[in-house]
Amino acid sequence: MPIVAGKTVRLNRLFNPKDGRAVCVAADHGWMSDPTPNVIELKRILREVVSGGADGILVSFGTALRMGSLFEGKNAPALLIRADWMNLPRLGGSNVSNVLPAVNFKKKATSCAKDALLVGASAITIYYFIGYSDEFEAINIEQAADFAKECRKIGLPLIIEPMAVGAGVTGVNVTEILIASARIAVEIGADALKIPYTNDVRSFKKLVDEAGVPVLVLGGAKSDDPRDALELADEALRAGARGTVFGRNVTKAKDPRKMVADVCALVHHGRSVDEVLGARVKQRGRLRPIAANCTGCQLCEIACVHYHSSAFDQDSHRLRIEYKFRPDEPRLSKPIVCPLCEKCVEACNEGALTIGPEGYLVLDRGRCTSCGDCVPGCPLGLISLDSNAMPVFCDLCEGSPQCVAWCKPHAIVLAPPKGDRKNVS
Amino acid sequence: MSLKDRGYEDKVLRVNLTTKRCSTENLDPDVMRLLLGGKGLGAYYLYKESKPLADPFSPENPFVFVVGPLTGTSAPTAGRFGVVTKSPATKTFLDSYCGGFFGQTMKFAGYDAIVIEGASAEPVVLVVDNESVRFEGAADIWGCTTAESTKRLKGKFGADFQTVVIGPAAERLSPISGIFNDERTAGRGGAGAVLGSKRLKGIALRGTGTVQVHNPAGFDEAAWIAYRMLRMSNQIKRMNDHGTANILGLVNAAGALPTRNYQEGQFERSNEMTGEAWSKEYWTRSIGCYGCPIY
Repeated sequence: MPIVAGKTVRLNRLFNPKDGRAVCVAADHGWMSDPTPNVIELKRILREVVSGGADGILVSFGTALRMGSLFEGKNAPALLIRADWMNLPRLGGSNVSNVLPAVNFKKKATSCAKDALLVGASAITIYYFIGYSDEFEAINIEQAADFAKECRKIGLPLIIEPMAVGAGVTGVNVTEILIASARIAVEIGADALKIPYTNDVRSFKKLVDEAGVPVLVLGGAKSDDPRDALELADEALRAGARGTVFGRNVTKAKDPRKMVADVCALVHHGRSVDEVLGARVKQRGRLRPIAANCTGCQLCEIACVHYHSSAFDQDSHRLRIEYKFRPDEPRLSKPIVCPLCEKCVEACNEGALTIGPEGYLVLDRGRCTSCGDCVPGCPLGLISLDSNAMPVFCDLCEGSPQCVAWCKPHAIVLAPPKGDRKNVS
Repeated sequence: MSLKDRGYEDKVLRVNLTTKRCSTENLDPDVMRLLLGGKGLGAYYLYKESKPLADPFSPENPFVFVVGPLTGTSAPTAGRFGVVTKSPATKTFLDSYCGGFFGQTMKFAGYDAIVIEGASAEPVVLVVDNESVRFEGAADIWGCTTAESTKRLKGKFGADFQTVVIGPAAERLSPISGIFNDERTAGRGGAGAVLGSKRLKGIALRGTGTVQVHNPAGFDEAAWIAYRMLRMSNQIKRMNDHGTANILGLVNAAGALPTRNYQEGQFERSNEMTGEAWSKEYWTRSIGCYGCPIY
């Protein structure tokens, strides 16, 4: 049947025929946000996305017309068209006084399958909202079914993006609703799904298994740490996802080309997150505080304590946050961390405290006499004695400093070891 | 499995301001199974110990400080504490929550809840240093603002003490007065006025204990994913950029912004009060509460 063949041909253009997987980039954000840099500079960003090796790019119909050249050529990415929209953010994010109550939502087709086909699309993407009013859900089902019918007629693949939002959706039931909505979308006629990650592998595997069509995981808001999106992709792939549709985590990335290439390494080349980014563990270096970034939340202290002990407390941390209060000014804070100055090594007469071969402080427990000379030896006061009179000191978490991993605003970073300027983290 | 192995301290501090007696008691494991977090624990004590028709300002109205099983751990926002009492504003159940650094310190001091009963004849401060509990006169700071009271209490007891205090409004029983930990407030329902009626100016508290979770590896994994969800959340991004007031515009648009004592639901100058306006005009620096990635 030619129609089925049409869908197959176009899906094969999107999904790499070798591994059946796809790395897509969503760039339809001009719809929903105020003109932000990633919307204004879309053409430049998408050129980088293409050179990073993306298999597909999702744009609005208008953008597809204006930026058609991106999709020309044998190795160009597949064009995906966002074919519907709704009137939620009527005038962008800053004019919230003009937003509509949920009861007034209207979802409208902004393009049709035939037009998408004419501009060379390999698929269209539509929303399927679940969780609002009964009426709104009914309209959603009807519209999705109309698109499915149209797509079937001309052999264009339909990607449905189920979204669980509205008064009926809570943190408790959102995963269950997403899993159900995935299957409903497939029953309506989806050839593939674009769907948020459920945040654990087991439930996402259930979603993928029950869907029975290729599932592409989406990213969400841009994280300051590119590792977040890659970890999410890695978990989704383990659950059986067939690829990604990341938007802002790519288009707002410092280097969109590298971000796409990194995702491709995970999706197509079976690399791990650590292989792509360099392992967080066992990196040589020393801690460097960046006081201007510190919010004083003490999460570094919590992470430090918990790495060295299964229990939590607020005393046994090996770094600390120091606060400064000035009248009528917001609190200032800065991390005090071990700079590996080796003063404690000098202070230890027994030679028990040394810089180990891995580049962090180690204690020879046999040599330590519990004299406590290292405690005043630390100019920053970061060494104390535990209940067994053994020194408690920063051991860089044996090479994988947890304070660096957990600090969201990057107030503690891993700087290269002394005398080594190349190995920047 | 004992409660102490899964996030709780299994200890409640009971303070009677009338008799100036303090005692501790264990949690009831059968009841704990039915309660959700600190909110549930506070509601349970209020339900159990309130007298029908008691005036919120009477000594019979119990006042409960609560923390939950996650408080003090690496779970996001795990420094928060709650207060539960009968509200002088609504004359019914009141729960209000506050960030800062008091919650986890209360947990590390070894308490899941502090139940305040009775009323003191003279202004007092409760001083809790782990197991040791005592009262100090507060005549010298009665009448001081919350900032001044906090400064004086920390000056007196040390910077490693965390404080909650009330200000002059609460002392005068204003039904919209709050309870302050540094610059953070439990602001709902006039909880501050209930402490004012008990003449408890504040609590200074130090904790050097531990919190134990049952399955540390599983806990770490869940906490890491929770932080990742926050870093990749649209809503949290709005919170980071514009604070809690980021929803003010929406509330105003929906006609639910109480204006002129709720004669109207929309305020004509609300655009000067939105999170966007605040962050643009007034923010100088983001400061975080204990273990909280939202700032």
